[in-house]
Amino acid sequence: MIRIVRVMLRRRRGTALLVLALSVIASATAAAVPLYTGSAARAVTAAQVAEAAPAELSIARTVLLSHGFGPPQPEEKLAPQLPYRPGFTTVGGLLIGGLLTVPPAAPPVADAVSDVDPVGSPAWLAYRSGVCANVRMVAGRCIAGAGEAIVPESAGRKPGAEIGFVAGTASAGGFRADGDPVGLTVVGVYAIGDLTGAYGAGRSFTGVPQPGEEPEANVPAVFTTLETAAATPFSTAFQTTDLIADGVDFTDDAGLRAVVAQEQTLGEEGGYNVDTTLPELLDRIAAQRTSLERSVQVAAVPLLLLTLVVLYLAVSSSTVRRRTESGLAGLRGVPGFTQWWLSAAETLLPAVAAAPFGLAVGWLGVRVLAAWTLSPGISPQLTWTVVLTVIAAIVTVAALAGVAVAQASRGPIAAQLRGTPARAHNVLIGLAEVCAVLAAAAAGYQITAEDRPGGLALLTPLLTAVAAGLVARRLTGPVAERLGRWGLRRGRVNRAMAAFVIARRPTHSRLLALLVVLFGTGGFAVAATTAGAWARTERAQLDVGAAEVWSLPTTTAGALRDAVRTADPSGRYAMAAAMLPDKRFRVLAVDAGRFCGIGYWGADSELPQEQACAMLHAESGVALPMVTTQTAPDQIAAGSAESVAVTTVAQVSALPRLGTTGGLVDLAGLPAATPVRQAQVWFAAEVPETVRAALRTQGLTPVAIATAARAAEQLDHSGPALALRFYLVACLTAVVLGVTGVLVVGAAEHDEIGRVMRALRIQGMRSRSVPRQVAGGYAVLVVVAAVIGTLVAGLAWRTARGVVPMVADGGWVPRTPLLPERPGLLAVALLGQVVVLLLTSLVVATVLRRSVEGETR
Amino acid sequence: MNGMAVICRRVVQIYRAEGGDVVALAGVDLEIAPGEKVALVGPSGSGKSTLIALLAGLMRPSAGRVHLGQTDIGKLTDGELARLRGTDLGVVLQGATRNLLPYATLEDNIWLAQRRVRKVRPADVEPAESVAALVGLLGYGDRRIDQLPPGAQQRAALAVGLAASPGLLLVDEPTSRLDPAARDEVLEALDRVNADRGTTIVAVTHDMAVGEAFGRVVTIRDGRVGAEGRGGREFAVVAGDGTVQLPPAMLASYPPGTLFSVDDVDGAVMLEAEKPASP
Repeated sequence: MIRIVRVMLRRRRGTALLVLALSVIASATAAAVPLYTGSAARAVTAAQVAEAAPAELSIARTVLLSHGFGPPQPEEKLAPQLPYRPGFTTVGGLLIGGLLTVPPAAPPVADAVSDVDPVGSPAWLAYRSGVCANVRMVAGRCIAGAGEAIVPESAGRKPGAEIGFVAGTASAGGFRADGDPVGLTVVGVYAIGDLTGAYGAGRSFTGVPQPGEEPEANVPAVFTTLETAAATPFSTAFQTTDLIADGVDFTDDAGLRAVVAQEQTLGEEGGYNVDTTLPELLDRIAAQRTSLERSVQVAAVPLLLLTLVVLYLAVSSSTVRRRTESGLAGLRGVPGFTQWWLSAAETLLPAVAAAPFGLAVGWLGVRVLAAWTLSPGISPQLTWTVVLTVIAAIVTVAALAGVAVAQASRGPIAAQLRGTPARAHNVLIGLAEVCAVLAAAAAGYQITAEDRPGGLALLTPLLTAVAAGLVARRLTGPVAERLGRWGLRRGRVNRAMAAFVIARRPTHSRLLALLVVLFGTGGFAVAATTAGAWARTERAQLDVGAAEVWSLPTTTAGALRDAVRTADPSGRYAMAAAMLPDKRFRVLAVDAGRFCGIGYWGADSELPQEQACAMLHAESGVALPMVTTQTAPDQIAAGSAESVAVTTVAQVSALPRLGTTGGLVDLAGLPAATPVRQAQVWFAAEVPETVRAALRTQGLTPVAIATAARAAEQLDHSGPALALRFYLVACLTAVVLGVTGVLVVGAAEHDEIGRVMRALRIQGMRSRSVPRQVAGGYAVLVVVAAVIGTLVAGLAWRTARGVVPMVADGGWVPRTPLLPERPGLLAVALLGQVVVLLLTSLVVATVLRRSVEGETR
Repeated sequence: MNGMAVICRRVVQIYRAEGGDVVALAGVDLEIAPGEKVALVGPSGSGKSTLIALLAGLMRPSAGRVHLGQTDIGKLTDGELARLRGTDLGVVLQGATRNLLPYATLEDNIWLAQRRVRKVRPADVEPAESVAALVGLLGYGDRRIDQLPPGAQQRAALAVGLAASPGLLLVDEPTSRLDPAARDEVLEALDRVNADRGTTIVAVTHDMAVGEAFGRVVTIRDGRVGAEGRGGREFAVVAGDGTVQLPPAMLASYPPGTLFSVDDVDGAVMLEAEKPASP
């Protein structure tokens, strides 16, 4: 039997190669889903981890040690526990609060800079394991022995300086010195920025480590050895044990949550206060990954479906042509399995052989896609899930091929021997059409009825396209038949014959359904991708507030506003802004006179920005007007000043920097002496460098700079963005399947249409009429499919644009616009597909013409 | 396997067509003894091929019974019919290539046709070369069918039909489109099969030479057995409903409605037409 199968394969290698190619596409698509999902999930995780706050990457234990200025403790007693957790680095520490002074009983230090407080400045005398490996020395060396210390740049000391430290007890604004001073030698100066990373575990080495404390309350840490810290007399100290998640890949969500829970339990049992926001990071990663996985899976469905449909077309048209062989096997009483195997082998063998190729193609494709869309260095990883998915795809392909073969081998042997096609299952086809339409309607209803639609709703574009394709397929025959007769009555033979070919060859109506799905899903994918990019840009702009925002140290409202106005008297490029220190309600104060020209405003906001600016202008003596996103209190805290009365003048869905919670007031309406935290300067996109320089001259030096472009870039690496890119690539790849579909139908109908054309040629039909009729028929199909598909895409967009994932962090998302953001791109994509398919049709028609001419001669 | 008897009793076959039902066989009564060679002749559309299709189990009769050996094939399931075709019944359709996989070798074609009998009666399976030799194609086993000349292709089709050593061989137009030499080769092969194996052979043909070679020629007319020739003599046949068809040549002289008196005189039946009355 193997010999016969081999001969069959050799005889019909075209079909075998086509099945092989389609099976490769199917298995590559199947492989691409877990490969891309895995790679993108790693990229998303890496991006989230990179942007995570130090407290989200650590589990910090703190316990207060009370010593009451007793005698120096042995190191062993003060040394923190260092528990081991796989993937975590354990950092132990000891923090003694106090004042940094001149050394006891020593003359003033010669190299002390002028801003050193002669009374003493608040500081932590700190021991922290691994400090030398984790902070960058800008001068001198790191600590190595007793009595040595390293200080931050802000302490104004140089290596070699002698300093004193007096342990104290916490009081308002710092420490009250209570202990005996100890002398230390500064051996190095470190960069404070290194402590704001994961190694710092979110502890305020630049501030008092108490919740709610302002980060600007700068209390630097003077690092010493444990021996030095232990020898320092103190009343109270904080012993710290920080688990730093620097070796965790964040793939085991449940395991990490279990670690957090265990550490919290163990810590509380041991009397520790345990602080971590690691679960929040895990929540964000989980949300991103879930959105990504779901969206990529949904995105792959159209491609897989189209592949299977084209494959079915190819296999069924091939097996129909071999119906006489099937009948012959029946005539000889060949056993059922042998019959089936002889019919199916030439499909099944290429399908199975395609598995490794599909896996390789999928891997390479995802590698290329990953290089384009993901972070550098992330490549797809082959896992058992990928292999099993490919096997599942091949089994599906094989099952489909088996069904196609069984369909083609149906009916009486006499009919098979005559090559008469098996009767179609009209009832089943009708039921399938009804089911498809109902599924599309159910998905549409789910979208309109549910707040957060999922499941079927995500497949709405595909289901709508499939339903429309099936209806179009059903109507094609009668409509084309009428058009054909109409054409004949008017003597338009070519048009009439093209219409008759469409009407009477069922493969053409199937091709129309396929093309409708292609255009429908492709149009939706392009619209979704462009809308996604727009939404991320909108979100990033609103998150940052302006094209560029400087964060500044604490100042007063008046000083900030005056400095910015002095640096940019035109008011076109820079604007002062600040958060007010109200803990209950987030309030952002902006310079309302400049806000309209510089600050971003939601594109779909209920209130025009100019109107908002006008409303914010306050008159003295009355409550401060506030634009809010929700019900606001009547009074808001404004630092050390009295509470400020506010009144809501308008309510909108989202505000810059505040998102969906908070209120906006005019900075000019605040008393000039109001202390502001998170002071900011907002810049317009086209700000000249001279304005920035002028601001620096005014003493406004940024501690951090954020730009809308950078924020948008970060969102571009979020789960939904990566999923939408996969969706687009999948739908564009489907164009290849459309081309293949035209070729398959061309090959399937080659003999029959060729026979008709030859007969007409003998009757005197012109040679050029052959390609006109054939290509004309395909052209009509392509154009009709493009029109229906575009309408379907529009309908699906109108209904289902809300289910397109834009961001996955639960934050504010702009309403997806009804009209496409980049209609030009949509038009080019549509036109490109039409042109490619028409060119393919022309190739099919030309091949047929040559065949007809060759045999007519 | 020895030859298989064929018995048809009032076999009726009606096709359903768009314009209405078409009666293809209108009560065929036929008996063929084991090991006999019978040629079915008749004009196109008379029902010959339909009768062969019924004997091959490719159709089921609308009425009547068809017995192959002891088996009433009207009562067999599709699976049992397939088993019968794979073991006891050889069928050769009109047109050699319709019976063969053209891209496979003769040996492969024979192997495929022996697939069923190899499971059911392995002892009856003859080597492919022997089967080929039976139809005069010894040494052609490894030749592809589409590389054989037309006469050899027809014999290859016979070889495939004979591959399972069937008791009954049904052949549709075995000599059509063959030159005289090729036709003689085919007839010789059929004769050899019948002689060597005792296989019953029923052939549909328009070729009088086949009828002469077979000895017994059954004429099918208007869906019935119209006449039968044996040993050079032509006989009318009494059908199951008692009807007897006149030879076609006489029909011009005796138009429909002509009255006959029928007399049995010492075993001889005399038909005398009533002359129409003079005006």
